[in-house]
Formats: sequence, C-alpha cells, structure tokens
Amino acid sequence: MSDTRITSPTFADVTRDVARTLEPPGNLYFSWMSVVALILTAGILAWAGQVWWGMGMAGKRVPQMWAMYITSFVFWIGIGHAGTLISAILYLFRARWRTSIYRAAEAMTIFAVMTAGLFPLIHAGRMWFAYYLLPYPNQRSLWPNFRSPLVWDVFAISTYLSISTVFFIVGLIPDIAALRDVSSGWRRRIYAMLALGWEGADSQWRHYRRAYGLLASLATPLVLSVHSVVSWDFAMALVPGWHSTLFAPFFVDGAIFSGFAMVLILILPMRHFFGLHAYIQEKHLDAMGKLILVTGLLLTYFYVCEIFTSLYSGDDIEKASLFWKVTKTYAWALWLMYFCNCVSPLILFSKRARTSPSVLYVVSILVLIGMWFERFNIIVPSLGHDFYPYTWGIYYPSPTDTMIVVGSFAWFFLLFLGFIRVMPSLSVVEVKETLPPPMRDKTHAGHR
Amino acid sequence: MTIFWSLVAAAGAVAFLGGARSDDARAVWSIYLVNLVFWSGLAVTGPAIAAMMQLTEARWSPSVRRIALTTAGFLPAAFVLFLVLVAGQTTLYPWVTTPVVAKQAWLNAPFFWLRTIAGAAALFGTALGLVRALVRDAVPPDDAGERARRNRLAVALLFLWVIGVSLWGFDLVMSLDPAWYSGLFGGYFVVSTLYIGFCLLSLLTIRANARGQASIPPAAVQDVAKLQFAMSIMWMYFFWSQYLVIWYGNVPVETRFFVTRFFTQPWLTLAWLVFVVGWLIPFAYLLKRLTGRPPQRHAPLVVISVFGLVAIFLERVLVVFPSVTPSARLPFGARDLAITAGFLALFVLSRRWFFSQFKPVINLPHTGH
Repeated sequence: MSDTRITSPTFADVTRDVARTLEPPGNLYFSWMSVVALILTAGILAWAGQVWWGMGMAGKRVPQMWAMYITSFVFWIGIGHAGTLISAILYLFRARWRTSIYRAAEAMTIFAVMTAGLFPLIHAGRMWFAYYLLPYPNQRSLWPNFRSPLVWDVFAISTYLSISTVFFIVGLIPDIAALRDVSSGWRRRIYAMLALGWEGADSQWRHYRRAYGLLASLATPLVLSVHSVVSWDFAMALVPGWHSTLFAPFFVDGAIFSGFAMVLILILPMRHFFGLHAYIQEKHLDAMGKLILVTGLLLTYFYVCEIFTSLYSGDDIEKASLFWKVTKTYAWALWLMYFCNCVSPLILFSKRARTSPSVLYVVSILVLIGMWFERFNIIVPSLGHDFYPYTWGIYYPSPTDTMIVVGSFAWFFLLFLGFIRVMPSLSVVEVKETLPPPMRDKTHAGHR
Repeated sequence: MTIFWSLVAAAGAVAFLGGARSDDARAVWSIYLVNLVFWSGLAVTGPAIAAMMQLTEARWSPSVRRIALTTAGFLPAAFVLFLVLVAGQTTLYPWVTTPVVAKQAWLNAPFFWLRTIAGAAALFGTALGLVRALVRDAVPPDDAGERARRNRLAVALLFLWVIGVSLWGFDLVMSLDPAWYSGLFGGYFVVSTLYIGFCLLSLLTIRANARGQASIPPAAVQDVAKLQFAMSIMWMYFFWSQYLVIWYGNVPVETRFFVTRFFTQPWLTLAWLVFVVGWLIPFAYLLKRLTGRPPQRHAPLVVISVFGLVAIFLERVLVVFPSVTPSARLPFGARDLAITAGFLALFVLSRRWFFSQFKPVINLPHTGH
C-alpha cells in the first residue's frame, strides 16, 4: 500500500488499533500456534531422548563437542542485539522512526536471550549441574575459573537479560495503563495490576522519563559488551580461525545485522495481519533496509580483513585452516554464508527493494540463514581442522540435535506469538508523541 | 598571518629535508609518517563525516556539515606528501631491502606504492568531488536527480574512505614491523581517525560561532560532542578488543608489539598519557556534559577536543616509532617539533586556500532536530 494513501491516525485511532490486536484471535492464529507447538514438542522429545540416552545422540564427538548447540547459542544471543540497539541507542540519538517497531524489537530481545539460554543447559547434558557455572560459595571450594571467558559469558548475558527485561517492563507501563482504561472484566484487573497505579500525572511522567533515559544509557554499552564477551569465548583460544583481534566488533556487527533481519521477519507479518500500515510505514522499512545494508557491508569488510590476516600472517597453520574452510568438507557452508551475508543484502541499495515487504522478507530470511552458518563456520570447521592431524574430525548433524535446534525456533516464535496477543506490540505512548496533538478548533491545526 | 604560517611551513620543510639526509633519517621519516597519516586522516575525514550526514539525511545542522567539508583543502597537498613518502621507503620499511618471503605477494614495493598512491588519488578525488557538490548551493535543492547524484558520491566516498584509511593502517603503519599483525588494525585506524575527525569538527564549529561566521545553536554543538563521545568509546573499544585478545593469547609474535610499548620506557609513560588525555578525561567530561542541558559555554569542549587530537597524534607516535627507530627516544626534539609545526601550518594554509577558492557559506539556517 502506498504511504501517500495513508492518512495520519488520531490519538483515538492509536489506542483502538493497538487494543484490537489483543482481541480474541481467529483460526489462522491458532493454526500457526499449533504448528509451532507441534515443532516445539518434537524438539522437547528429542531433548528428552538426549537426556535419557546421552550426548552421543546429538552427534557430539571429539573434536566437535560444541557443534550445533553453541552455534545456535551464539546465533540467538546475536538476534537479541537489534532490540537493544533500536530501543536504547536509537532512543538516545532521537531517531523517531523507531517508535513503531521498538516494542516488538524489545520483546524479541528478551525471547531471543531466553532461547539462547537454553543451549548451554542442553549442551551441558546433565543440566541439573548447570548451577556450577554460577559463582557461589560452597564447602568444596568449587569456584568457577574467573579467567575463563565462559564465566564472563554468564555475567554478560545475565546482566543483559536483566537490563533488557527491566527496560522492556518500564516502557510498557504507560501502554498497559492505556489498555486498562479501554478494557473490562478480568483483563482490566490484570492490566490494572501491571500498570502499577499509572495515572499519567506530571510527576509520574517526570520519573518515567528519567528512568527510561537512565536505562537506555545503561543498556547502550551492553550492545557492545555482550557479544564481545561471547566472541572472546573463541578469540582467547589459540585455535586457528578463532584467535583473531577482529572477533569482538565482527561479532557485534553480525549480531546487529541478524537482529534487524529477525525484527523484519516479525514485524512484516504483524503489519500485514494487524493492518498496521499507518504505523509501520514505508519509511520505517526503508530505514530498516538501510541498516541491514550498512551492517551487511561492514560484515563483508570484516570477512575480507579476516581472510587478509590469515594470508598476511604468513602462518602456515592459519593458511591451511582457511584453505580447508574454503575448499573442503564444509566449503558449501562458507560459500552459502558469503552469498547470504555479503551478496543478498546488496539488493537493498535500491530504494524500491528497501520499501518492498516481500523483498525485505526474502533478504531477511537469507540473512538469518547466513548468520546461523557464520557461527557454524566459525565453530565446526575450525575445531575440525586445527594444529595436529590426529585431532582432525568431521561432524555430521544428528536428527536429535537438528530437531532441538529447530525446536528452539519454535520456542522463540511461540513466545512471540503469545506476546503479541497479551501485550501491546506497538508503543501507544510513543506513537502518539509522533502525531500532531488533537485540537479543539481544527482550523488552527496548521498553526502549531 | 598567512606569512607567518608560510614561514612555519617552510621551516618545517627545511627541517625535514635536512634531517632526511642526516644519520637520524629513521626518526625524521618516522615523524613525517606520523604527521602524514594524522593530517591526511583529518583532511579526508571531514568530507567523510559530511557524506555520513548526507546519507542519513541529518537535518540537525547544515552549518556543521558545511564546516566538515572545509578540511578538504589539505587533500591536494596531502597527495603530494604521499608521493614524497616513496623516497623514504628504504628507511622506513625493512621488507623493501630484506623481503619477507611469506608475505612478498602483498609486501612488495611496486604493488605497495601502486595501492597507496592510486588509493589516495581515488579517495582524495572523490572527496573533492563530494565537496564541490555539497558546497555549491546554500540550500540543497529538492531535486531528486541531484540528490541521488550526491548520495552516490557519498556512498563512493565512504567506501573509499574505509578501505583507504584501513590500508594506511595495515600498510603504512603495520608493515613497519612486518612480523607483527592484527586483523583489527585497519578498523582501529579508521575508528581512531574518525574520533579525531569529530574532535576537529567540534573545534571548528565552536570557532565558526566565535568568529561570527555561523550561529550554530548549543543543541547542535552538543550533538557534535555526542558523536565525539561515541567515537571516543569506539576507539577505546577497538583498542581493548585487540589488546585483550593478544594479552590473553600470549603468542610471542603478537605480544612483542605491546610489550615494547606498554612495558618499557619511555613508551610506557607515553601510553598512559595517551590513555588519560585521549580517553579518560574526555570520557569523564563528555559524560557529565551530555547528561545535562546543552551548555552555552564551550571552553571545556575546546580543551577536550584538543586533548583528543594531541592524544591520537601521540598514539601515532607510539605505534610508529618503536617499530622503526632502535633508539628509545621520544620524538620531541626541535626538529621533530619543526616538522610537526610545518604540517600544521600547511593544514591551516590549505584551509585558507579552500575558503578563498570555494567561498563556502557557513551561516546556514538551522532547521532544527
């Protein structure tokens, strides 16, 4: 739909349109939920099988012990980044186009981190010992090794989840109050409880704005820190293909890249099915397309630097590792990654492509495929071909770990599909702030 | 003042020419290289910032964008100075006289100078092209074709800027010690150059207001300070990303770069100076400044911006000198200062030439945020 035909909504339209998304859903919604729940069930069954019969079910053998689970862990952590970037950094930079999409992006962040958090537990095998990761005093002095980046991960990710959740909840308060005012019955009681007594008083707004700005400032460094720490899980080791100074910014950029793609995967159907064209306009799609293009180009820059460093280093092992990745067993995965991450976003140089939902959707899917394979290419081929030939090995996915990874997508989408039916997926307050205020006398509306 | 700056530039040239033929040629060429990458980086980053503002449709201050363009006056001089660098190749780059077999495909003199000189020509030419396009009209026209042309130029410039400045890092600086390598060094060079680009932009913006050439509101100055703050953090982040990985990995070929600079004098003191002056103090001040209302007085921001510029200059000294000169001597002698002052004078004169040539209107209407 062309934006020129869309009339600017009024304050009442915004509240009504958002409230409409929370009405009892139709059959289409339940069909999707059923499909997603079915896939999730298959994933849970596969996981139960792995717990019962052991990690061999997941194809985990030396040297490929990390394989698909850590690939997916890094992938999902990365997905969460765009939410924080959109909600915090773009807020601080006063990029007002974020208003229509940031709520969905924030929810995505939390659900993505929750999904990522499953994988260390699944990968531990005996997940009832996962608490060993936490620094707790105990009589056996089993303190975690603080010099291990894996422990840094625990702190980085738990901080990220905490700040993102608080940020998300604080941002929801005025919107929940708006929903409370237009709902009735048990819904009204629940919304009233969650709105924490919000009345929209001046003093409440003052405190709200201060808290929101403070949380945005706290969340901003996390965009850099979390994925940097995740990247150091690899870069600190001396494994060829891992030990690289590039990794921290390279991971952060890739995370933002994939996160934006996932935001589009989520908001484009929302826009279509909820009829939110007046709020998620072509200019929003255009801006998102530009960000995907820029982060994709930066990623290409990092890929080139990575290859350059391997060749420039003069290190035979590094060069052999690169050669193996480019030409041998997993070469298809590497070239697929280059196509998806470097070539496919180039179409977004065209404004027509950036404002076409179908093109954006296809590019976003390709980007997600490419970014999952980027993590696969870092983990699997590097571990499979390091210093000594006797430690080399090939990894083949098993039905169990494949089903668990597919199930993680179902888990993520189940959470998101649930969210959009119980909470406002569009920020009522911030969207209203971007609209002209209502005037008693419309003849003066042009003289604001 | 033009006569004064011309005399300073001439004195710098004499100091350089005399020194390049002395026993201390390594130190002289090193300070030349430091100045070359520092001032050329500043000159080309102004138009690059304007290109970013063009592409992001930044409307918060057209005057600031116009001011950013004015650093481009140094680009023709910078190109000549790049050509002069070829004469110092045997003094600066050990791989020219003693080839490193494993890296010869990349580190060989013909290819090295081809990409350096051709890269500089393409980068500077595109920057000047964008400057001509953006400086021409007081108010950019609502002409879609012209806008698309400007956007194309801006995209081309940003591509060339990232690749070109990265190659300055990899080639001109990293290859001074051909055994050492860091994949992020090119990106680090880009980010640190962008940091000083914003430091200079803050200075020039405040100066334009003080001289009555423009009336840029405090909010727009604050926005430049915000970007300066963001880039100072990015600079330290890129540094830390390299340092931590190399320190943790503890591979001799990598660590020796930092061992020389951070664990032996006099470089250790210089490294701390760079950290405190270039990052710690600016970070603390800018954090405080950005949490309040935009102040009307900008004297502290001027000081902080000068700190940033001086610190990155010293950081360039820190990365270049220990790789080239065996003597652990800080390059703050009379000759070093004369050469540096010569580059500064040339930069000032070039900017004056730019104003006389292009006559840019700086005082553009502020269109708000």
